[in-house]
Amino acid sequence: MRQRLALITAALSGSVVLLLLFFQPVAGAYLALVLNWAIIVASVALLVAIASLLVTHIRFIAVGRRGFIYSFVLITAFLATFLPGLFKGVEDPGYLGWISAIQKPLELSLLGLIALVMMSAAVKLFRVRGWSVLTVSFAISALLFLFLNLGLSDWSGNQIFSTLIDAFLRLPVIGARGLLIGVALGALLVGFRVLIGQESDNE
Amino acid sequence: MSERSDELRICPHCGQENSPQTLRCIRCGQELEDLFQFDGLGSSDTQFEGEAETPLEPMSDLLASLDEDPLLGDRQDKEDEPSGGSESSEDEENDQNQVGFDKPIPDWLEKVRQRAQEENAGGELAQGGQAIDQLRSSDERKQVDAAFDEIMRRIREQSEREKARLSRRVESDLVDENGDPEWLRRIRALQPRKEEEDTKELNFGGSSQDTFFDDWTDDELEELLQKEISQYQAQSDETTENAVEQKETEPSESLIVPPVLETKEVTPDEDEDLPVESESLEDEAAGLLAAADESTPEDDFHNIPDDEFYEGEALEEVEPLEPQAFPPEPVQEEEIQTEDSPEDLGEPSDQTDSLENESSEQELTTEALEPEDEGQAKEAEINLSEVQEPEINLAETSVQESETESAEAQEVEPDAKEPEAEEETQADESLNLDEPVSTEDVLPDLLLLRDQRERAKTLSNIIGQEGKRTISVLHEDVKQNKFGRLVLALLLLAGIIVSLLFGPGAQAELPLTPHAIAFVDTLNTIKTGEKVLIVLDYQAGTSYEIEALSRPVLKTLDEKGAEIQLVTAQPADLWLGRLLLDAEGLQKDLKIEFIPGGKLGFLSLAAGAQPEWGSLPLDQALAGVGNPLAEMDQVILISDSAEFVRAWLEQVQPWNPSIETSAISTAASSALLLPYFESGQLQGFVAGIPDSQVLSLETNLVLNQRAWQAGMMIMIIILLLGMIMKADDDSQKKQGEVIQ
Repeated sequence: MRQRLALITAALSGSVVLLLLFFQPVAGAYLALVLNWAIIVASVALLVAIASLLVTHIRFIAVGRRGFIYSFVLITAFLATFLPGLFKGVEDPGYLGWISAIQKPLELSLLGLIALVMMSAAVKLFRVRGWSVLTVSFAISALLFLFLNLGLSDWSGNQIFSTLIDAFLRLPVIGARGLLIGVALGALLVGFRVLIGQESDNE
Repeated sequence: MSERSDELRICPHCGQENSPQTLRCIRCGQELEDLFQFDGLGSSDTQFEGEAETPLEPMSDLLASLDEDPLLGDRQDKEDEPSGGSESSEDEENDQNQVGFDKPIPDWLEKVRQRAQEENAGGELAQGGQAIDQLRSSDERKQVDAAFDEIMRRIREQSEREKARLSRRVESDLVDENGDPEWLRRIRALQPRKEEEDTKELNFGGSSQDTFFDDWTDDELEELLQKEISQYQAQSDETTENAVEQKETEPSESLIVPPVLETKEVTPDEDEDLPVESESLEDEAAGLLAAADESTPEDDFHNIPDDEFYEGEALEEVEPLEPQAFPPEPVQEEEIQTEDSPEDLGEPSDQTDSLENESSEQELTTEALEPEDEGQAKEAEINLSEVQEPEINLAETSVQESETESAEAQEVEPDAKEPEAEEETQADESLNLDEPVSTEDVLPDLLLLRDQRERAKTLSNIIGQEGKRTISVLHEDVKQNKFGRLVLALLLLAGIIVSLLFGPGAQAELPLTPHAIAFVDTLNTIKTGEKVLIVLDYQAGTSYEIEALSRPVLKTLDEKGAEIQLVTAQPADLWLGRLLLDAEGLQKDLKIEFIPGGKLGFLSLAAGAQPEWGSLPLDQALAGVGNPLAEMDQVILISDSAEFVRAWLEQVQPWNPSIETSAISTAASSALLLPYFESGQLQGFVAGIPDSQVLSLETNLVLNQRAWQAGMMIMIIILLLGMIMKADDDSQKKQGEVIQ
């Protein structure tokens, strides 16, 4: 019954939004109302998620769970971010500099790790996957675009090379179009299943 | 007439006229003496007892007798002629009355009659007739009921007899057409091979053996053997003691007869033969049992199917043929028997029986010593039972038959057979040495069936696996060689650091892309006073790449005098955008508006309308600036996520199609934004460092070109290195295969 209620709610919500979008010139106000409801519900859900996260890590610290030091760091960082913003305001330059000095190095380090993992994957690609059409085509395309983006030479003076390079640079469009079409079809199918009540959380 | 009437007697029950000499009524069998017994004591009990003893008649005869029953015939006659009956009764009464006139009447009778005539003169005859009729009707009913009860009793008895016959038939049906009983067929189903061999041996014994095994089951035979052995032991003890006491006085009576010969009817003439016979039989029995004991290693005389056993292991407990239960104390017996030997008695002719028995047992013993397969114990037991059979045959056969058998037995040479039997026994023992350990060598409690053994094995496996992981982990931590990854990381960092530290940054020679050129063209179309909405949606990690491209755009817009409005749905962009604005020294009064709800908030601003009945929470949040999407000329999306750009173009931009949209993004998002550029939904976009040239920016101001190139070169080298390593592995494998 509980699952059925969620399905009915999702189906009704989707149907209402879809109808309101179809009749937007007339039902624009109702559409804004429904979307505001959704925004409020999503914001409250975000607050509940934050509260659950804090309670969980506080419990870890209380019971002395293994690795509770990370929970302690998380709680401290949350309080150090939340309390200054609460008292000084999010537009205070000192507060902004403080947050930026912490957040930028963290995210840049994550990007550096991603680059390193991608390099390692490139080394292991042929050892694990062997010689296949997929690996060879990937290697050729990767080497081509890496070489083109090196910036060691200017190919614009040569018309043939310039045309050839333009053709190569348009190759990603092919893959991107296929990817976007797949995403659109998937979203359409999932939305339709929700509307007819065939989609559930368990599936 | 008067004489006749005087002679007749009327039955008080049925009214039948009987002769005066008859004691019982010819119709109903009632004693006529009752007429003169005024006490009313009847003799009906004796009558029914006599009837019960009569043999039962078949049903057809019974029904026939019922049809011919005169009672029923009389009743029918009475029903047909109701008036005639009364007349005849009146005639009979008249006759009875006339009897008294013919004979001299005693005085007492005359007085009685006179008094009766005085008291009831008119109804004398009528009362007598009525009494007779009542008596008749009641008696007829009783007799009919009695006859009916008798018929029912006979029917019941007959049905019981039929049932008994049927049960006998069922029991007899258990024996099949070959005469094999049910138990034998079951044993054959369990052990078809052994049954065939056993059948052969049984046929060897003669026809009497068939009847013997038809009537005796194996268990019964085993019990009989044990019983006989125990009896023999007990009797041997007793007879030994008696023989010691009586051997001087009555030597012939102190003979020890083995149990296998007890059933033989020993005549006084044969008593003298028995010592030799008993001695030989004892020896033979001992040898037989020894052979049986030796043959037990492959013993599987059991009723459990063979598939329940492990091959080569005797796992079934067999009732062992205990040697201690066999004829013991040979010393005492030999002493007695040597003293009572037939030679001393001087009657060698009576040795025929003993020789006959001995020879027959020799044959059986040799058979018992030749067990070929696993059924040795069973064969030994059967042979022992066969040893008992001659006694039965001897008891049943005549003296002539025993003589002929003895004559045949003389032809057999026991002395010549004994060595052969010993050799065969030794050969069997040598063969048995190669066979698995005997069940008798192992304690019976330690013998396990296959099922028990498998269960024990399973249990031990379970115990052995206790505490171990049985389900494989999906992502098991495998120790990886992190040295190679460390080398790669150090190589990458070293290349970038060296390129950053040494030498000036080179000018990048990157190709110009159409979407970047289109973006610049769109930017150049902005005129003074036009409203430009800038949507911030990037993270701190990509801020360097995004902000490097955003700064010249903001500067250009500021120079052109465009009216800029900054909005964001990301909390991080509140301070990132502020830092961007502060770094360029752009319009100090610019404020970054936060749009709650992310994409939903932008959708609500684009597609929603202000309700007439009040304001929405989002309207109150943007109370100072109103709807940022209203009356905008251009929108520039500054985002590191192609997903956000796609969502904007697909859900927000269609509600304001007149607004031109362009984007500043990262190089990673370039490929996914190209389709929207080619479709016209995006006027143009710049993505990453490669597109920075279109903005007429000096790349050295954006990033160190040499560091960029160093990083790209290291990636190319690593990718090529992976390919080379794979090729080297393949060549080594091929060389190894060639060498092998």
